[in-house]
Parts: sequence; C-alpha cells; structure tokens
Amino acid sequence: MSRIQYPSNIRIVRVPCSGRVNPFFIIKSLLRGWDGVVVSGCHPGDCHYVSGNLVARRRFAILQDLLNLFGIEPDRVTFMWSSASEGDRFANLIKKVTKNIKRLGPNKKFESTW
Amino acid sequence: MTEAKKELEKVKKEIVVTGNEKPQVGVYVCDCGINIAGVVSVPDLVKYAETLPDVAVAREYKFFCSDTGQNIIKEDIQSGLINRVVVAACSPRMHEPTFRLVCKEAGLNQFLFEQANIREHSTWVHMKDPEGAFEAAKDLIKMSVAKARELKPLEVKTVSIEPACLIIGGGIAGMNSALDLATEGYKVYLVERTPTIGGHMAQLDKTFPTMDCSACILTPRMVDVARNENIELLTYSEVVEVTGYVGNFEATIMKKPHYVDQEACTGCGVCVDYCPVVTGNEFDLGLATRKAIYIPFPQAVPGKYTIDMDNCIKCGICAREDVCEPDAIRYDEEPEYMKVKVGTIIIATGWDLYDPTGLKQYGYGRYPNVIDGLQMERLLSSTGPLDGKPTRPSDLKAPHSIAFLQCVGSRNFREGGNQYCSRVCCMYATKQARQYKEKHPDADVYIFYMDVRAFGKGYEEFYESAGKNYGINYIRGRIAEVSEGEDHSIIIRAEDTLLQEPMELKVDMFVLSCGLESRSDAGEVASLVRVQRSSDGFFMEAHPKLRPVDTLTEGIFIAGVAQGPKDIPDSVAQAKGAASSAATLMAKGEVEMEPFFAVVRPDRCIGCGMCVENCTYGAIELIDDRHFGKIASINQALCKGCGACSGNCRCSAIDIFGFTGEQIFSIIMGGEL
Repeated sequence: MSRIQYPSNIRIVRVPCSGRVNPFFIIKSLLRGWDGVVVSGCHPGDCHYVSGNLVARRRFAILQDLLNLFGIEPDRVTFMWSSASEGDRFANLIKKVTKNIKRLGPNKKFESTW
Repeated sequence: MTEAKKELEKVKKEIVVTGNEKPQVGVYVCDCGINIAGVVSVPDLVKYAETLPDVAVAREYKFFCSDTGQNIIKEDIQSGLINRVVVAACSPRMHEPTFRLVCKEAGLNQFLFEQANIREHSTWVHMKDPEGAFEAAKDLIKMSVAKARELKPLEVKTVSIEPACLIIGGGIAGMNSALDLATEGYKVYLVERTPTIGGHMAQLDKTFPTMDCSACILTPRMVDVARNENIELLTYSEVVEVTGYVGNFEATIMKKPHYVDQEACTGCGVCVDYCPVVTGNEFDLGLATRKAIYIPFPQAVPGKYTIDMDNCIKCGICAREDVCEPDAIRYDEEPEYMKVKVGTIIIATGWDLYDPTGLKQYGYGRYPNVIDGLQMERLLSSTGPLDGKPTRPSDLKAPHSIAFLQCVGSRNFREGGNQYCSRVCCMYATKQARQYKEKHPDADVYIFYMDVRAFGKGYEEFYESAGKNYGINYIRGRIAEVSEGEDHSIIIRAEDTLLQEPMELKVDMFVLSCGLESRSDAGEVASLVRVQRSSDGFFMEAHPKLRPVDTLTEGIFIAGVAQGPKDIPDSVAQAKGAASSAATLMAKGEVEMEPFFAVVRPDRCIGCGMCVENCTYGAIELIDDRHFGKIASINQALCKGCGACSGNCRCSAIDIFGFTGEQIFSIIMGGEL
C-alpha cells in the first residue's frame, strides 16, 4: 500500500476473509517451522463479509489459550485488524510483530517433526 | 468473422483439464518495467522457478499484461505444454481478470490460474532491501506454484441483475446520477435524509467562476428529478439496512414521519402563519428562524410541509379545520419501512462543513462577527435571511472591512486537523470577496492565504481578476490569533510571510473559509453498505486513477464529495461516471460470480449446526440425507464464499472452492507435503 516499507521476512497468504482461517492453518504453520503467524482482517464491525471477523476473533481467542497450553509463546501468533486504506498501520503492525518474534528467536518447538 | 479466423477457431484445441492429470505449471515472471526488475533479478527468479516441482516452463517478459505477453502464455497453453498458469507480477486486484481471460481464450479453465503478487508484496514494499525482496519473491512464487498444483477447474456462476439503482443522497451528485440512470430506463430509488433534495448546492448563492446563480441552475434539475417517472423520490428517509450482493441487493428504507400527510398537503403555507413555535433554521445555519412546521426553503422539492417534532408543542392550531383546509396534519404518524430490490447502489452522501469551534484562537462562537464560509454564503444569497445585503451579526450594519482566512481545518498536519486540501475554499472565498466588493466597492477586503489554488477551468483568470479588477488584498500568511476590539470589531494578529513582518489589522467582520469533511455519520453508512473509507474519512475508490467511482464492493459506486472534496463540475462529472458504471453493469443483465463457494464433505459432517449459526447469508441449512443422516447443505445461490463456516468447522467438513484446505496447506508447506 503506497509503497510503505516494512520488513521483508513476512510471506502473505491470500484468503477471502479472516473467518476462513482455520486454526489448523496456524498450527500447521508453526509445525512447519514458520517463526510466527499473523492473521489480519477488517476491523470488527467493518467486515466485508458482514461478520466473518467476529467469528474469527472468538475462535482465535480460544486458539491462543490452546497454544499457550502447548507452550507456544503468545507473541508468535498475532491477530490484527487493518482496513485496505491503512497501509501505514499495516506496516507498523508488521514491524512490531517482527520485532517481537525476533526477540523470541527461531521457532524450534517442533523441529523433531520436520 | 473472416473465413481464416473461423478456421483458426476450429483448430484451436479445447484444453480439457479434469484436475486428475499431472499438473504442468507455467511460471511467468513479469519485469513490470522497472517496478519488479529494478529491484530483483528476474532471470534469477525464472531460474529458481524452473527448479520447483511440476514446473514445465518458466519465462520472463517485460509486461505480461501486454498483448505480446498474453500471447506467450496462450501459446504455451495451446501447445499443450502447460495446464496450470502462475503469473508472478502485480496484485491480483490489478490483473487477475486479465490473466483469467487469457486462460479462457486459450481454452484452459480460467480458475487454473494463480497470481503471485511479487510487486505489492515484495519489490514495492521492500524496495530498500533488495536481497530480502528477492527471497520474498522466490517464496511467493514457490507458494503460488504449490497452490497451482492443487487447483481444480471450476465453473462460473452467473446471476441476474435487478435493473434498479439505489442512490443514497439527493444533492447535486445524487440527482445527476439519478437523472442519467432514469433516462436510460432504469428504476431509481433516490433516498434523501432531509425533507428536500438539492443538498448543499441549494444553500449557495453564486457559483464560481461563471457567477451562475446556484438556485437558477439547480432548481430546474430538482423539478426534473421529482417529475421523472423512473425516479422514486424518497425524501425525509434513511437507508437502515442493506443485504445481498451485486445485482441483488435488498435495502430497507425508513420513511420518517412528516406528521403531515404528504399526499393531502397542498403546500399552501397557512399553517406557518399560525404556528407559535419559532426555532433556528438549519438551512440558514442559524442566521434566521423558522417555525416548527416548515419547508426548508421556498424552492424545496417536494414542496410539502414537515413538523419538527423536537420543537413542536402539539398545540393543535395547525390541525384546526380553518388552518389546514385539506386536513393534512397527522400528529400520530409513525415511521414507515419499505424494502426495495436493486442491482446497484450509488453513495452520494456529500459533506459536512468543518466545525471551527475547536480552533479557539479564531474566536468562532465567541465573537459574534466571526462567521464561517457557508454562513457568509447565506448572507450573500438573495434568497438568504438578509435578501443578499450582508450585514454583520452584532449590529446588522454593512461591514466596511472584511477579512477571510483560508485553510481553516484543511492542510493541517497537527493533531485533530484534516491534512488534505478541501479544493473549493480558495475559490469560494475569492468569489465571496468579489461579490461583496460588487455591492460595496469602497469596502476593504483581505484574504489571508497559504497558497491560492485556482486549478480549474477559468479559475486562475477569476482569481487574477479579483486582485486586479476588484482590489481584493491577498496577504500570504497565517493568522496567529484574533481578539475583539471596541464595537465588536475583530483585531487580527498575523505575519505577512512575503514581507516577513508581523502585522495587526482591525476589521468589521471575519470569515473563516472552512474546509469540507466527510459526513459525521459516514462510518455508519460505510458499515451499512460494507464499503471502505480512506484515512481522511471519505469513501474509498477501488483504484485512485482507473476506478475512481467504483468501490471495492462490486455493484456499489461513489459520487461527489462523499469520495473526496471537489467542486460542483467535478461532482457532476463523477456522478455521471458513477451512473454510467452502474448502467454498464446493469445493461449486461447478468453478472458473473466467482464460483468460490462452500462445499460440504458429507462423510465428515456430523450435523452439529455450528456453520448454520455462523453463516450471515443464511446459506446453510441442515438436511436429512438418506446416506449420511443429518448434514449441512449449502445453498450456492446465497453463499459468498467468505469461509466463516469452514474456518470454524470442527470436523473440517466444509471447504471453500478457490481457497481449499489442501491449497492453503500446500502454500504453508511451500509445496513440500
């Protein structure tokens, strides 16, 4: 968005709605060795698909608890809201997430399963 | 079609891909001029792509979206070399339709195409980190190839379009869109919140730079709108709910109670003479009064009366037989709701004037002789409270000196200010100054400005002449603060930045040229119709250059200041553009929908009904299947493919075409399953 620069260590997977993101996608990413996962959707109340992000928010709150139980640091999985017009917000959030994950270091929790 | 062409059509091989054969992926890495090739090495990306599983061919070209570029892909498809296409280039928002068409024209199912966005997601946003950008581009290609291998052919779904348009806002933009669409034969529902159409333009006296009388050019249009058979005019109404999607929206409109039977009311106005309640007139911005029973201004359309129940004391005088002969008064009227089906929606909700009360240094609201630009317009207007003979509020004497301050609430990068230029204030202040000088040639008129932006047709000439022929003093500099002198005069302290010296000036009246803002309830409208707003609060266009009247929600268009500050000619041009875009869509009669809907795997579904709860579109129901028992069933006509059901399905029994679990897992794994 507007060519605002952000760290190059994220890879974007396109989904129709944050509501489409099955918890398995996040768990699979962590198993695969990605150091962190970000799910980004429309702001609550502004969902392009009416209420998908609200469904997602509830689901991720539960998932976050579950990941904690497995001993995965909460900062590895981030849920954030940014609209299509908020390029700078998106960039800033990615910068923040990258910083948090760098502090945690590589995700080696599931190394043995690779 | 020529014989040769027909022959060619015949030999063109229809490529049948069932999805079961071995994927043969063609990867096309676009230079996009220097947008991509200027940051990363495209030949190296091509070399990398060749090493990926199932990649049959990888190629580079300057612009794959060009005719030649498209033909390269077509030839590879038609020669049977590939059965999946990955284009690594810009955003799918830009060219996904282009490349889907390429596949289709070459005989390949268009959904066997996947776009890797290595421009917006790599070379543009990591421009200053070329190595990082290269690694990102490599991975994005790898991820797209992984998804492409899992793609299955899909069939396009078409739905019919209701040949009707809902227009929200009855100002100059909404009216023009309505007239164009109605003339083309489409049904139009024009919804206006206030009791009359006309919008802000009705409040203006003259229009720059031609000095046309605003009302004289506006009111005939208002009458045309009211008379047009295809336009259903819904004034004093609000849209309260919008459901559905392109081609088939359903809107619920609330008709607010007028407390006066609009059919029976003849607009005679006798009630006004009898009404004992006097209150501020919104149309004249508090500079004049009206009664509790009123029409907003004499030329209002429709010219029927409304009772303002916030102020009405229900004395019953207007309902008396000798006052209202047609017996039109209805104190107990309730809001009415109506539902309309439309294929398209145009948002033309207009603007609010920036409220300068917060800028304490300018004394607005504190000193009587400080007014805003729209109030000045009403004072100058021949239909205004002073019959076009402006006087200052404190003593109703014609001011001998007036100062205008530009960029009030615009071009302000401090907290709370609007950063954008409102585009009309330089011109309206110049126009108002000229109008005042025409009436009082010996008056002293000053305009304090940052830059004068006279960019439109005839605007520069208009501004030049203001200084040269009318003797208006333009002073470059911001006003630091104002205070009140004796006799309510205004003392201005400012810096003349051209002379680089501080100055003090005493004037009789001070006008704040306030900028335009998005409507205070634009956020609610945005949620209502599910369109987005840019950071300045105005509605966001789908593309700032190429799709300025479209929104990111298909079938919904924007016109006028709702999209961003603009003057009347630009608003009208955009309104006509929005009408044309809506008509283009509706003229086809049907619209193609992406077949990205949910599918249930009956063998996994346990019929828990969670998806039924989560589906906003009511597209899922539980059925009794002879082989599987109670399972979920998707109505594809209603499904929008958002995936809320799938993401939440604890049995992983629902998948979304185009974004299947298999496809997303393969992206996450980078093709290494």
